Amino acid sequence: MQAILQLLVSGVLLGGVYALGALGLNLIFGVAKVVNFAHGEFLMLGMFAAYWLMTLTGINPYLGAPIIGAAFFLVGLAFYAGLMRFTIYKPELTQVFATLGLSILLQNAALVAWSADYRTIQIMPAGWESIQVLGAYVPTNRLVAFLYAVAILLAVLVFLRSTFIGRAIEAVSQDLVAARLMGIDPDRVFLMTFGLGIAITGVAGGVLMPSFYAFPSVGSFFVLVAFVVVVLGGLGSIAGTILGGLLLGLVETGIGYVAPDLKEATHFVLLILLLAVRPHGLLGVKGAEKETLK
Amino acid sequence: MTLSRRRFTTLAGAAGLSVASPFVRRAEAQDLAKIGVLLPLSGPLASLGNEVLRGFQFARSLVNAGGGVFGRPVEFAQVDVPGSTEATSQAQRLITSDRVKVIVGSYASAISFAASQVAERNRVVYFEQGAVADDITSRGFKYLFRFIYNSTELGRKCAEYATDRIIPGVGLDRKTAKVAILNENSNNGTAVGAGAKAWLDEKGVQVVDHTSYDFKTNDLSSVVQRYKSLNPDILIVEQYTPDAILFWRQAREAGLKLKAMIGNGGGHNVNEFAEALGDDVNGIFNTGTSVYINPKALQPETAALFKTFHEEYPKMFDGRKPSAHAGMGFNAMYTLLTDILPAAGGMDTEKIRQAALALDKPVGSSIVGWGLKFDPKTQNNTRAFPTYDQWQGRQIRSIGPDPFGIAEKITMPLPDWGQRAGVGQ
Repeated sequence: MQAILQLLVSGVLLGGVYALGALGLNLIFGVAKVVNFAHGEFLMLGMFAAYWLMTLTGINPYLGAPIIGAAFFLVGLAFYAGLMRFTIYKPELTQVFATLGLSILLQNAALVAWSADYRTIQIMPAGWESIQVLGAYVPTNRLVAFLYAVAILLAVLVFLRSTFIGRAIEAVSQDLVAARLMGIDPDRVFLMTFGLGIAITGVAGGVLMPSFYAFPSVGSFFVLVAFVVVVLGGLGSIAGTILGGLLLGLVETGIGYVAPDLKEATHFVLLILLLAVRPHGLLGVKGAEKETLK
Repeated sequence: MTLSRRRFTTLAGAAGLSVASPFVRRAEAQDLAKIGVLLPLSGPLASLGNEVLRGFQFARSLVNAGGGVFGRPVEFAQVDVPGSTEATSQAQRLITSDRVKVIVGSYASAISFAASQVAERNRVVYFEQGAVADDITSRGFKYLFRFIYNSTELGRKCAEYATDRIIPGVGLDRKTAKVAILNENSNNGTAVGAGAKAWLDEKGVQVVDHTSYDFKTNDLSSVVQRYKSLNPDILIVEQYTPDAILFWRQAREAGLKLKAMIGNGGGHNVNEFAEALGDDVNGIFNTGTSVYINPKALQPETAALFKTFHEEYPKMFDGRKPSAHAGMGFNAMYTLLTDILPAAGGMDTEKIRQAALALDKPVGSSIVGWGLKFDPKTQNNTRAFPTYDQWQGRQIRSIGPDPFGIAEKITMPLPDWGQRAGVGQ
């Protein structure tokens, strides 16, 4: 019984990790229909940002998340203005090559700048690595990361529903032509979306840093799962991402307890099953998986 | 561009010569020690790949400061091999475009396995400094030599320490002790796990769990929970650095209680492991290679080299302390440059091969404690052996086998989380 409660707690918190890792990816996909293969590298940069922020200024990433978010918003704007703007109406393959190329570039730039060492930070004081609730151990770093995932979800939902630019983003994601007819400038919307998506990814990397480690290829540890989570939850659905993350986290933890060697395989079994039964994902809009901007 | 007949003839001649070059004795190749270096310097294995490279570079600078080899400074032709898919093409590049006669690699077994195949086909001598998979040297290759022991041997020696020292040390006996084995699922991890299991089965020790996982995982809390249910006394693990950090952090978060944990190289003898976990690394055992052994157990001239290594290495690399991987890299490169190549008298692969086979150095003649005698059949070093360490005061401290241990006291069983500052005192 105790074990089951513990596995539930671990699964939900792992779900938070997975959701965090996928939110920014899904936002950009949902609006601009761009599959960002450099997503893992932006996550890596977020982790390094948290590491350097903590090491150089002593600000821990839980408090410094707004700083990281603001910086990465600018990074996202530059990412769109400098690269993706030229590929946005091009065939998908062009976007794949552009983002994949950027991914390799960023990985190697990080390698040159910071070497391949594994960097870690400690935030929680000794003895506070976890707290006990009803006999289950709740790791504090993952709890904070989970709360961040929920907070980001709520913030994005409020932003999309109640601000003008947010509604414009929603409009473009639903129907580009109609949005244009209503006088919305899609390029401005894409620019904002990339800014927002990369800001979320940067913050995600930052708040995951205390639970993990930063090194140039750490993105590859997260990116595959992020794609699975996005597809599971539904392409373009932010709430679906949280749900997809939770589902994956719970299933993986359960399987991991019984047969650790099959842990990673469950991601893809789950994905295949879902694609067979419900190709648009748990909360996705039917047909979203087939959409492009043309 | 149009080609004149003369220019065409020159080019064709040059092309013909370069194709024929392996068969032509070329004067300049005789007296220049140009060594092919093949390592993962980017990608997920880069951390330790670069560590090995630093060992190579330190050996080169030491040898060049002493006049080089054949009276000329040693040169490296270096390629980056992030994974096994790049191994073949990069080995080929070293051989055909850089024309090296000797390659030293490669840290990761999968890379070594593929690259050494190319070297063998081209009759280029391949020295493997630290890849441990058993099958690398079981293919009957003539030009492949390995300095280190293999994975099965590593796992077996680890389990031997568990049965002979730890089980009695924590107040258990072989009948009642419960051991679990956990390894990441690479070639190496699987072989280490199997080696440990075989020894434990042979000694009649109860193995309550033997399982594996993918090292790119983001979560091992379910595995920790599994051990909380199975309740093993001793855990034998083989992990890379990130998963080693993740596992031990999640074990702390869940308050997992063990009497002992023994790692097998990989993540358990690198400084990053200690940086991530602080005092909670103290008390963990490790089986593998160490550069923090007792120098009194070494041959006198090796003890002097050991001292130089520890004094000069940090100066060359911004105060960085050498890890076991830097030590193994150094050992292989230094032996090649100071023993094998001078004995061969040139860069002729057949002579280098003979010189390597003829080498006979006693235990204690390298900075990691090993001797050197290549088995004429497998061309494995028969005098390499794993050493044992315990983390004490966030440092890896050698504890055996005798006389290589340096720690005054070995602490077991493992104290509780947060109570490990005094391990070894």
